[in-house]
Amino acid sequence: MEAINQIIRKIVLFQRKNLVFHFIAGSIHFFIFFLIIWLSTFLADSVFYFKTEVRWFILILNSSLTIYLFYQFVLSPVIDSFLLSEKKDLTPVTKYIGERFPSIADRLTNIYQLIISEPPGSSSSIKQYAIGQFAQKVTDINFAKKLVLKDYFLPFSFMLPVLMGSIILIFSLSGRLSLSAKRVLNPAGEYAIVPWYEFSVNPGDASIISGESLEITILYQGPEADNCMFWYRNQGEKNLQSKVLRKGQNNYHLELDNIRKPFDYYVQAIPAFPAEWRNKLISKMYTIETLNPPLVNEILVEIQPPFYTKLPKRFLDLNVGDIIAYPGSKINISGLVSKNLKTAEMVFSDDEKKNCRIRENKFSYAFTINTDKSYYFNISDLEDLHNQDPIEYSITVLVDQFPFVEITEPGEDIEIAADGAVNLVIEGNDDFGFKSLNLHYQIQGKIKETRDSTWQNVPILISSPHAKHFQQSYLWNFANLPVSFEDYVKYYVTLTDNDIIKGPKKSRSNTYYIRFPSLEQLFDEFEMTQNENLESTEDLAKESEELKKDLEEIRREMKREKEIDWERKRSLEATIEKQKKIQEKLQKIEEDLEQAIKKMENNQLFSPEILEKYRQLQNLFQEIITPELLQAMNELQNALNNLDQKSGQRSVEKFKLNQERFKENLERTLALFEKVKLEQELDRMVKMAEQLKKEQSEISEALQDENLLNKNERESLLQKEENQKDLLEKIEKSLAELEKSQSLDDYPKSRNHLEEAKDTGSQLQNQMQNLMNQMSASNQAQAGKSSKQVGRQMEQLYSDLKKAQDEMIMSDKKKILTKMQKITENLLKLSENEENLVDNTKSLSNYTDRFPEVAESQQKILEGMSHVIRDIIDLSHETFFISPQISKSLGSANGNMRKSLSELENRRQNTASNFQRQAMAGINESILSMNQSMEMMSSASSATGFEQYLEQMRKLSGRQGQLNQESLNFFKQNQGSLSMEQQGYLRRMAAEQRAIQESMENMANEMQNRSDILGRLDHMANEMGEVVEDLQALNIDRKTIERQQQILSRMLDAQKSVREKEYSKKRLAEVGKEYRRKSPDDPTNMEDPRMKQLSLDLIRALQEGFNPDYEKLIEEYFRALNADISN
Amino acid sequence: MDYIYIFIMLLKMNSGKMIKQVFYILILLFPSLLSSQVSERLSELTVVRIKYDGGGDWYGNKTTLKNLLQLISDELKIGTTLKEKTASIMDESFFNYPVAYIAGHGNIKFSDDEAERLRTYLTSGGFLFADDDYGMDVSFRREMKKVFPELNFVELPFTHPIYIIYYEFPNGLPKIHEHDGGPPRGLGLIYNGRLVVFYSFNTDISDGCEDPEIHNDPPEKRQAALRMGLNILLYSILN
Repeated sequence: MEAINQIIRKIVLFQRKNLVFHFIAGSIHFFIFFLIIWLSTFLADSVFYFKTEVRWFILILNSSLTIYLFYQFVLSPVIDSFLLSEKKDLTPVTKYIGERFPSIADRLTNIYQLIISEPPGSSSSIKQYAIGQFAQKVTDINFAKKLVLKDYFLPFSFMLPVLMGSIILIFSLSGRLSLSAKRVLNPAGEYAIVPWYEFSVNPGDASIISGESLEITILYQGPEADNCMFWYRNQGEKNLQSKVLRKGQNNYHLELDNIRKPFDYYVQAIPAFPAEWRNKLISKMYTIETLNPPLVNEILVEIQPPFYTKLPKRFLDLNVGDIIAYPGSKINISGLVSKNLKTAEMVFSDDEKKNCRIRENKFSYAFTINTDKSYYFNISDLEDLHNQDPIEYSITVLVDQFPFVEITEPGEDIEIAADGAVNLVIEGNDDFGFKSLNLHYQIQGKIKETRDSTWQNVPILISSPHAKHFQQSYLWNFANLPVSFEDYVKYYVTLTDNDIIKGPKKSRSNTYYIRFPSLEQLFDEFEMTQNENLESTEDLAKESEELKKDLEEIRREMKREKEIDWERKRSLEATIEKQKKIQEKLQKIEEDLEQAIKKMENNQLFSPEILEKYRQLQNLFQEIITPELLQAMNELQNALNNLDQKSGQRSVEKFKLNQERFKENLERTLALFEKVKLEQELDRMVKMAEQLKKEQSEISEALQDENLLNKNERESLLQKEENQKDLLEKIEKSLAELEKSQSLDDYPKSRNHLEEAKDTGSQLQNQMQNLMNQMSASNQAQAGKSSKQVGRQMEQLYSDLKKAQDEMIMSDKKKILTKMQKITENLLKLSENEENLVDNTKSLSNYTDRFPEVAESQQKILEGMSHVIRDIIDLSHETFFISPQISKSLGSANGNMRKSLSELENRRQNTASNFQRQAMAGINESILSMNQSMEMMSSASSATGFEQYLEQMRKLSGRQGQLNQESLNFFKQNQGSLSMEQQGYLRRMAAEQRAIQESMENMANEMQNRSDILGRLDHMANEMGEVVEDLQALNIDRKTIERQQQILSRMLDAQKSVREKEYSKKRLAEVGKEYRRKSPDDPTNMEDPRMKQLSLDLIRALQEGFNPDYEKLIEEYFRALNADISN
Repeated sequence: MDYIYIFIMLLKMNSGKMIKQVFYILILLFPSLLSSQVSERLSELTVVRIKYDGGGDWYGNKTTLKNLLQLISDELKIGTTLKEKTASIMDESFFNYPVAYIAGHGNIKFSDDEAERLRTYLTSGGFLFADDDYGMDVSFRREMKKVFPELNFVELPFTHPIYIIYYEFPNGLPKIHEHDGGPPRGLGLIYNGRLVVFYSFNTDISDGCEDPEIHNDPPEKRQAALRMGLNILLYSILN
């Protein structure tokens, strides 16, 4: 049995393997035949374009064949394999095996037959024995192993060409074959015969960067087409969209811009005809893929300006990369990208590239800017895609502006005395602050050889160097500089800013000159002006006299005539016009005089008395044109306009009266003018004589030097002596002019002294000539003696002139004293009368009728009081010794007298007498004050009274100035801890300041009543006290220096104000006239919210800290906006 | 206490003694009335004169404020100190005074700190009355530009309350002294709709308010000056 099973198993295995191989080979063969059948069919159809019936036939035939072949090659082995079993008759299989194994041949078949059947007459044991023997024989034979798969295949020489040919056919004619396949497989459909066509599409399938553009070029071959359509559909979408392709010479084009999404597309040719081909001429579907490069989504720029600008750190708005900043600014840029980064770099326009720090999708970089350039970011992602078309940002470096500096005071060329001082006011602007301010000056002068004309440099401390604007004062004292008359100083200031990045920038102010005119020049100029003005005034007086005559004539004629005719009107108008012209000329004279006096005053060339006289003269000039005159002219003009005879006559009378007064005032002024001119010329001569003797003394000293003078020195001295001679000639000339003055007749003693001076002068001429001869002959010893003699003679000349001047002053003083005495006498009389009145009033009874009589007496006394008060007012214009106390007492007395009068009218004698007693007390007080004033004036050197105080102030100012200089030098040179010597020095300065303070306090005490003149001396003294404390505490700092400067400035100011305060025509407080005009517009548009917003915006804009030029532009802009809103 | 006493008295009194009781009550009431009157006057108006640098005479017009304060006291029954106070802008006490006064003939100069402090003072309710004595105009305008860079002086119309608040000035500022000739000008700096600085120019209100014997102005001029001064100070405390 075992043998039988073994043999049957072997056979089954063989058959199974056989069937499997049949299946595999059959499948391949089926596929090949399938290809052959169908491809040939499709090819035939594409060529012959079968009719519908033929297609049906072919379809059925091919389908049947396909099924058959499928059954035969594929299905049959599978079925046989399922049906295969050991019980089945396997005889054909044994035969097949026998063919494979010739050694077995039929034996297997025979044995199998034995196994499956019982032949007649066979013995089972022989059967078993035969089967067993066979089994033994085939034990080691594996029937299945004999089967080889390749034996089952058709020859490769057949299969391979078929396959290759099929593949070629499919790929080359895919379009046509597919169409044929469609037709064959759907034989029922109607198909147009589609001719051959071909599309060659470039680029076909492609990948591009998102956002890029794509050009598609199509080469079409086939039936003639009207145009080609481009059909496309974004991936993920269903609908197709189309575009018409642009036809080129041989092809079609399409440009697609900014492609962001992937899409599929094909091309369709639209045939001219027939319409049935319309949807047939299409290409295959292509695909365009898009790639996304990295994108910079955000950038943030931080700017830290350089330290010296004091500007705060700031951030630009998000995604703003354009940088505008000052050089030296630190920039920190950070960015955010759409993808994780592989590399990031900043590329600058100067080809510099810098790698940024990266973290995932962020990058950052820090740098400092110094020049203008641009930059962009070059980034790449992990797929090595770079950002496309990066934005280029700019870096603009702001310019730290040059500072601006100007000298605002004096701000022009000026002339001052050689020992004077100028308060410079310097203004500076800068966008960030200042480093230093310097004054540069050069002295240039007449005697160049002995002048050091190198440029000098004085640093000036800026009180607020970190501000953007300053106004700095600097008191420039020429007393310490080697300048003298006729020299001039050329100067300017330079200002450097605090730019530490590019270096400090310097600006320079305008250049100005300070001239130190000689006394002679100043006096000559003044004399010329004065003479011109005097002549003009004389001319005016003459014109006025003629005008007076004309008016008189007109007045007489008008009395005769009944009405004003045109001719009369014209002549009157001409008269008014003449008067106006005279007034205008007068005003011009007044202005010229004002200018000239001011100049002399600034150079302190007038003594206080002369100055006072000129001020009086100026007042008189102003009083010449009275308001009544102007009113009279107006009334006359009105009357003329109306041709009103009566009012015309009255107006002419009034005008004539006022014109006469005008003439009188003018003549009075002229007289005073001449007198003042006389005094001033004498004053000048005295000054010149003083200068003469001083210079001569220096010449004598030089000549008497033990060492012999060299040639240059001798020549220099000779030149000086010649100058002296010129000066003497000037004095003599002035003397001769002065003698002609009629005003001198009022001062006979002065005239005598002037005669003596004249004699002295003529003697001097000869002596000086001798001296010069001796100097020319280099006879130094003799010249020295002669010079001394000349000096003595000059002393005499000076003495004579001074006596003449003093005599004049004394004479004036006597006049004032006489007036004061007269006033005092009048006051005494009034007091006596008032006292008598008190007794009279007290004795009145309630019922008496003497009240009117007593009241009348009081009225008379009151009128007398008014006269006295008027006299005092007039006198107070001439002298300072009329104190306000006198006026106050008289004012009180006046008031009480009025009250007494009122009480007398009401018959109240007791109250009236009380008021009278008070009035009397007031008068007595004023008498006492007047006596005091007379005593003071008697002992004073001048009638004005304040010269002494002025002199004291001048001396104290000099000491203060010197102390200030010492303090400044000490401050500059000594910083930090002080040595014993330095401490001692400070204590000495403290003592000096204390001494000045005490002097100031004493002056304040003395001038208790007149502290209004010199200002608050006690306050100045207090400030000095603070400086003393600082110095005693060994603490000298910038504040101390500034305090000292302020003290000196106030002292100089006080000196100036002494001269100006009482004399300035403005400060004499001329009573204001009435002016009528229209009310200004109501600035209620300030309530306009737009205006309010504008103001706020302006404040904000100005606080931005722009450059001053920008600030001015901003203000102008806002002003224009303001005007716009207002309109 | 007095009212309680009155009440008790009313309860107790009988008609025969009524008159005497009422009399006694009035006597008792009088001190409390007087004390309340005094206590009203304890809150006094004071004006501070600004001490400034620059060299100008801030200390002039010594009797001006005294006379003005006296007039206010007499006319308006408002308590005043009758004596001016003096302080510089940087003094701590400066802010104690609601009204400040500045005048002079010369140069005025404010430091940056002073300008800032003055601005704070004026924008916090303070008021500045400035009067040109003749000569301070240029420097005053320049320094006020530091205080209020965004504001310009505007001329107030004659209908402004400052000209009619107590005395009427239908033609604006009175012309006290001639100065440069021409009409006087009442100028103001207006901040957020409020007049913070009043500047009288080309008239000299201060001189007009001085003691009469100092400038010997006509009585009507002096009266006009004092009245205008009263208007200014009254306006300053009411606005």
